[in-house]
Amino acid sequence: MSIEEHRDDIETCFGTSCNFCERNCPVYKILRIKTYTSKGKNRAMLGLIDGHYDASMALAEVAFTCTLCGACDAHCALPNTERFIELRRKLVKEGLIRPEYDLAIESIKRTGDVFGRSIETSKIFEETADGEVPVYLGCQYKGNKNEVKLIIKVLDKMGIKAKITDDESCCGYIAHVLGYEDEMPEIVSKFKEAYPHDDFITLCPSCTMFTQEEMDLNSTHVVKRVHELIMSGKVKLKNLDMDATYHDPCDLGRKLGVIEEPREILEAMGVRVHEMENNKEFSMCCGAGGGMLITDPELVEDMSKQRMKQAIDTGVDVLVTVCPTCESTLLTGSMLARKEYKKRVKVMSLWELLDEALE
Amino acid sequence: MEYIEELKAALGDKVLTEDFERFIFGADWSPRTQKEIMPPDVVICPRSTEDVVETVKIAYKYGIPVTAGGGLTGMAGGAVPIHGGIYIDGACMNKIVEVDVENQTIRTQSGATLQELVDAGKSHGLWFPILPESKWSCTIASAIACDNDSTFGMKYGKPLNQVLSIEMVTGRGEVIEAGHRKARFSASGYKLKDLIIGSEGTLGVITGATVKLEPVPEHRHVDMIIFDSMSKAVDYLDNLLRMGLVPEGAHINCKRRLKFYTHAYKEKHGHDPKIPDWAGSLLAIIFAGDKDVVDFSLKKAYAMADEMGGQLIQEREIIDNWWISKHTLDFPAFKQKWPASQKVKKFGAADPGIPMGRLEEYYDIFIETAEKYELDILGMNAYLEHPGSIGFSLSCALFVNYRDQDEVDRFRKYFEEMSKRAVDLEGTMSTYMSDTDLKVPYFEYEHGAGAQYMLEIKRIFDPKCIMNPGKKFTREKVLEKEE
Ligand SMILES: Cc1cc2nc3c(=O)[nH]c(=O)nc-3n(C[C@H](O)[C@H](O)[C@H](O)COP(=O)(O)OP(=O)(O)OC[C@H]3O[C@@H](n4cnc5c(N)ncnc54)[C@H](O)[C@@H]3O)c2cc1C
Ligand code: SF4
Ligand code: SF4
Repeated sequence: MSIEEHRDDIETCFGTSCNFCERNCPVYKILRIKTYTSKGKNRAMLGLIDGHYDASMALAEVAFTCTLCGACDAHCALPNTERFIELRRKLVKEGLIRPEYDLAIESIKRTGDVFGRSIETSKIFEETADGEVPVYLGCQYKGNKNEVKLIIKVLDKMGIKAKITDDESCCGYIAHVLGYEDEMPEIVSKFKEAYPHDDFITLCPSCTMFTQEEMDLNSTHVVKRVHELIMSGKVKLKNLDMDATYHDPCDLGRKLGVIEEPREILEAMGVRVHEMENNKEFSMCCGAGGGMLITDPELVEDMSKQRMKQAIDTGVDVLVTVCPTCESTLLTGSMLARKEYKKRVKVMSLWELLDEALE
Repeated sequence: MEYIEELKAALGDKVLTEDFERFIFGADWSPRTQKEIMPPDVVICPRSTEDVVETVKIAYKYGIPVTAGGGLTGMAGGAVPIHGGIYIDGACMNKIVEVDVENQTIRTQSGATLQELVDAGKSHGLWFPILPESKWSCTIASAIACDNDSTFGMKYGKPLNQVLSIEMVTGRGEVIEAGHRKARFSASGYKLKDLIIGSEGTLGVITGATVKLEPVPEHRHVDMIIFDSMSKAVDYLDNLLRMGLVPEGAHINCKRRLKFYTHAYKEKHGHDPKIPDWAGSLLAIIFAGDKDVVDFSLKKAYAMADEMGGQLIQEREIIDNWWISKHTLDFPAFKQKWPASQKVKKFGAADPGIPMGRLEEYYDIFIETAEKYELDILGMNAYLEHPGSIGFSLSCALFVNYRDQDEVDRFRKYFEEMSKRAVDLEGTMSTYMSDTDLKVPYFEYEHGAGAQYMLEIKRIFDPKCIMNPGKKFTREKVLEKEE
């Protein structure tokens, strides 16, 4: 597909021009320049397809300064983020990219890991040697030994014997959102070859989204599995009697619709959920989506602080989330927000609470 | 261009010159075709009054047009830089400077959106009640610049009624503060502040404002009453006012117009809401305050409706649909009404004001004029926008095919004719969009000899006619004297 094939929607946005997409755009809220909104990008594409100008590095800067969080889609009736990926594809094809992206894609192709590491996961997680259920870690979790061990422990307590192998290769999510269309077949087939499972558990929302939506595989996000078990009454949970807020990872909540499940898990542990101003389908991105961590860490920090301010405003002391990227980004956000607003909200993963609540 | 280099030297990365960046700012929400997008030569993203002063001083030196915009949701091209030059993206400066709880005022930079003013007051139990549907994007500067409407106009009026003081950089690059600080009114001097309201950036660039906040009402109730005619709804409101009841908001919709607001209802049920054939108007009415006061008001209002043959809409979903569409904008995720309803044709409206006794007559003119120009009728809404009395802002809306130049041109003819006809009926051609370039041909028709005085005022504030030139007056007309 090319952006020309999106003409109808691009023109509809021009005709509509309602700006509702601005309302919750994490990037626009910080930068406050209209070019970065969904409408801004749609309008920029209109000029491109009408031949008013060619793509440029400056346009690429705007196209890649977007977390692809989909908040604009939630406030619109057009699938804008799909089109933003299409724009990125065009820019990549024309070589209008920052070198950091190329390096990331090279790493994936060379090592099967976006960070270029070769980690012997089977050794680190040797306790899963006799495991039964394939659990795919993904690049983010691979380097997060402690949290993965915790997840393995929690799953074990619930009767799921996780199996972690060395066979992982990056699923290609990041290459997909960065627009490396031509590289996708190679990355995807490498993944499929290395990880020949059809039915597996995923820990990272983005890997889940990509393997389900783009590869049509039968992956299940771990939260769904845990939720099923808890709701069936098969596992007993202690009452933690606490208050917290919950941050919806964009890919898990808005994109995959796993919204009520984590809340119900929290409630089942006696955690009273106090919603932030932006929640559920209208949640606000932590700032790290769309590949922005690679190129614009400072803006990501500002966005994470912005999200943590919303957590502070709920009056609770704990924010729970269930995505490795959101968690580490919001951890930084929490420190920054603490400095500015003199209040600390602790960032916790759902796994820490589940571990505590399981006998 | 030399002046752009000078702007860059003064303002650095606040100056945008890329083709695509300029293109983005070349159109607002007014019906126009893609070919009519008019990009400025350069875009400035100011963060302070000083940035605006720098910009205007350079523009003044070189005689370059300066058009300021906010959300770019204007309906008549007010912020479109028709003479090119500099576009100031006013929304870039949105700091809230002070919330004065004791005096119930807020001081803000001019690019704060109306919703941001509401949010700033929230924790203090205060709100800013001038809220058009576009409140998430419309800036306070734009609200002032075109004196736009509000859902709650019957109680709180328009920006004219809520703004206490305005900071503006004039066309000479000088900063003035027009108004009376936090005092509610003043008999001192000339009312420069009121002159700026509705001036649509033709006198200067608004950079800050002090506005009144109001206590958030404890309770609100929205209802809809069907009457057999538009004038019956007007009489009904008149009777309520005579009784001493002042609704917080009132909107008289024609039957066709309601359908536009109930788009989600149709999606869900597969048909439009069922409204009786005899319905001539649907009055949406809002009461707010302490619960017992609201309940008492409703009791009285229902009794009066009954006495006048009005029928309360019982199907709550219809009213909720209207309210979501008009005010809360809490559409289901991925399903808000605008793009879905604007795929082929877009909303386009004329905004005349007419005296209270002539609504019916003007409604007929609306239908007749739309038919004359072969345009699809979306419907009429009479917004009650004068605090505590009956004062109409009309939205006479059509569906306009924005891919068809001929249709857009016919819409403009319709727009002109509707403006003229409103003046003929002892009304005004504009109530919330201001004049822009579209009403220039009828400017003298409405203002008579007053137009010349206005021209002189324009020249005092903006001697080189660089401030949003082409709006209200043609640039040539303003510069005539100097040539
Ligand atoms: C979905 C939707 C719903 C709407 N609903 C309503 C409604 O309910 N009621 C209503 O009245 N209108 C409505 N409008 C129209 C529009 O939103 C209003 O007219 C609003 O006031 C425009 O605000 P803006 O910030 O987008 O202005 P813009 O279009 O950016 O500008 C409007 C005018 O203000 C001037 N201006 C902007 N900033 C400055 C500045 N700093 N200094 C001097 N002049 C300046 C511009 O030059 C222009 O003349 C709606 C529009 C949309 C898209
Ligand atoms: S992207 Fe959607 S919400 Fe934003 S202006 Fe376009 S149509 Fe409106
Ligand atoms: S995807 Fe997110 S960051 Fe990108 S334009 Fe939409 S709301 Fe903004």
